[in-house]
Amino acid sequence: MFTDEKWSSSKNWFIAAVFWIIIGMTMGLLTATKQIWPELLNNRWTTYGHVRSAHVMLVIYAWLSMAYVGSMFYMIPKLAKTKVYSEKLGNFALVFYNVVILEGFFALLFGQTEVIEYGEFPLWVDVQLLVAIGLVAYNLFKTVGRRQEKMLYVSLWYFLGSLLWLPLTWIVGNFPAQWIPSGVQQGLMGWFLGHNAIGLWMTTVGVGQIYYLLPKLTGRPLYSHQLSMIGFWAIATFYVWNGPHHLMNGPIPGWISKAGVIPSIVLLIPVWAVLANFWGTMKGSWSQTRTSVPLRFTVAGTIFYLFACLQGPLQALPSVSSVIKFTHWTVGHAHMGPFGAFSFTSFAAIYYILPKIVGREMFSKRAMEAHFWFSTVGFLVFAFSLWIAGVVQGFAWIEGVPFLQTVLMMEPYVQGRAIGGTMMYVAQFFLAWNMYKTIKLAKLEKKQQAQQQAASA
Amino acid sequence: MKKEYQQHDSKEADIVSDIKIEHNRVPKLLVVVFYVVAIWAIGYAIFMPGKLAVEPAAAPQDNKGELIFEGTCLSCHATGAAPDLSGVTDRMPEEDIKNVIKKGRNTMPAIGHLYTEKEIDMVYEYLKDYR
Repeated sequence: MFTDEKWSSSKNWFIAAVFWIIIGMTMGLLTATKQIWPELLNNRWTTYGHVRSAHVMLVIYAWLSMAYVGSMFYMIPKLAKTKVYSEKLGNFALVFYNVVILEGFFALLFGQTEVIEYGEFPLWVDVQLLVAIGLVAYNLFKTVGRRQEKMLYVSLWYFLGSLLWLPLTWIVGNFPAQWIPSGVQQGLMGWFLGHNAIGLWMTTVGVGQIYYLLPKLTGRPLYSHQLSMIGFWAIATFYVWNGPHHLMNGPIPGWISKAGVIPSIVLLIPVWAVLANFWGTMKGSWSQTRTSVPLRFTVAGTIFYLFACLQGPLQALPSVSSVIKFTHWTVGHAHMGPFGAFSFTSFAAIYYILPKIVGREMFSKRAMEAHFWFSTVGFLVFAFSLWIAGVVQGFAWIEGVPFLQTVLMMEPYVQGRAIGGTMMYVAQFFLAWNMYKTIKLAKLEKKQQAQQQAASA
Repeated sequence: MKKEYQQHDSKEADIVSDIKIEHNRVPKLLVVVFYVVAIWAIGYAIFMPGKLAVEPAAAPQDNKGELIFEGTCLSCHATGAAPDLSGVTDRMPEEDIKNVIKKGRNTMPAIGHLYTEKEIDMVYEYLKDYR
């Protein structure tokens, strides 16, 4: 039933991921549009609250996570110089994972939710998702266990760490919240997941992807082993503390608050170490970004990562937080990592890996270019609209401008966000179409080759 | 210590999984940033509250009588739906006024359960000056 073909897991996870980015971003665009026309599709299933949480959960746990697993099913065996432990299990896990995501998607549309940011799926879905992640992790750990290469390359540290951290944060964030008394404790538990889903899954797998892609795409050696070590261990040590900064100035004890602020700032250490390592590796290869779209996606991703991690630590400071909390700014910032940095590296991974799997170039270079420019320009329009909106909103509230008036002030920015979002959305169709064409043509070419061989024999 | 580092740095590049890894030194700027961040962190932990310093809550409102009067009473007593209340304290004794507020009269609903004794006193105090 499940194929055993080499690299099939990687390919299929990618295909599923791109299917879900379309669905997930449709939900996102619907959310943005509803802020302009509140009456749009306003029925029992697609109310604003349902659609928004569906968007968040789908882009993170469906699109991004599947793209990550897809690239790990290729990168880990390559780095370990061995085969995937079980392609069959990889394909089974994919089907299972997709079923669980579908369940979660419909559960959200039916109004079931846990009300935890990044952990909205109800409990019965959480348990299944944990099993699915467990299957993937088991498969990949077994792969590394049978490695032929003695040393572990940097990407492998990140991948293996992430595959442990995701289940752990998932358990802490989703399960105790059902039993502990509600209120601040629940908020802190929820934000443990909320921040670590970003920090110990999205960031760490994404950085691992970049560590793999940059030397491969530029053909240059990795800049510094020491920086890799600093970057990895600092992020592993400090990221896990960051949850409380989401409840900044809220009713949490002062020491917990500090325990959230300080590591947020200390995160500058791993972020800058990692980026210095990336840009040191890029030395002399910057001109290649003109021609190589995967490299351009990767480098753009690193730049967005820098911006996200300049905003993040500053936002954790009580004074800054007091202005921008609950405003549109946060939404702009929240798209910086998952879309600007790590969706970009995942696009690069797809463009780099897929041709290697199917054995032919991507079908259309122009579609790749269109994908890049629509994504980048769209995202900049989107993000700047929201940042400006957030600052305006934050200061207006402090001034004591009546709330409804501040809502009306937001109109042009919300429209700008929707326009940028539409561009980002359109971009993904170039990706999907390009992938479809590439895979189809590769199959056709393989068939023709086989026929020719049969004829010549 | 320094010598060891230099030897370590001049080492040939490693090759792991066919990817070359060099041993360049950590850029000086970064080292400075790391130290600054570390010192800041310790300082913040010791000296800062970790939250925004909020001004103490405002003193209890002395004009509560006025606020209640304008927010509640005037919705009827200023629209012609109910009699004008200017100088009402000259026309009625204190107890009666408070009773009307608490228990209502004719079309006026009882609002005693909404306010404390003290608040009703404050409303009465305000009425004394309402002319």
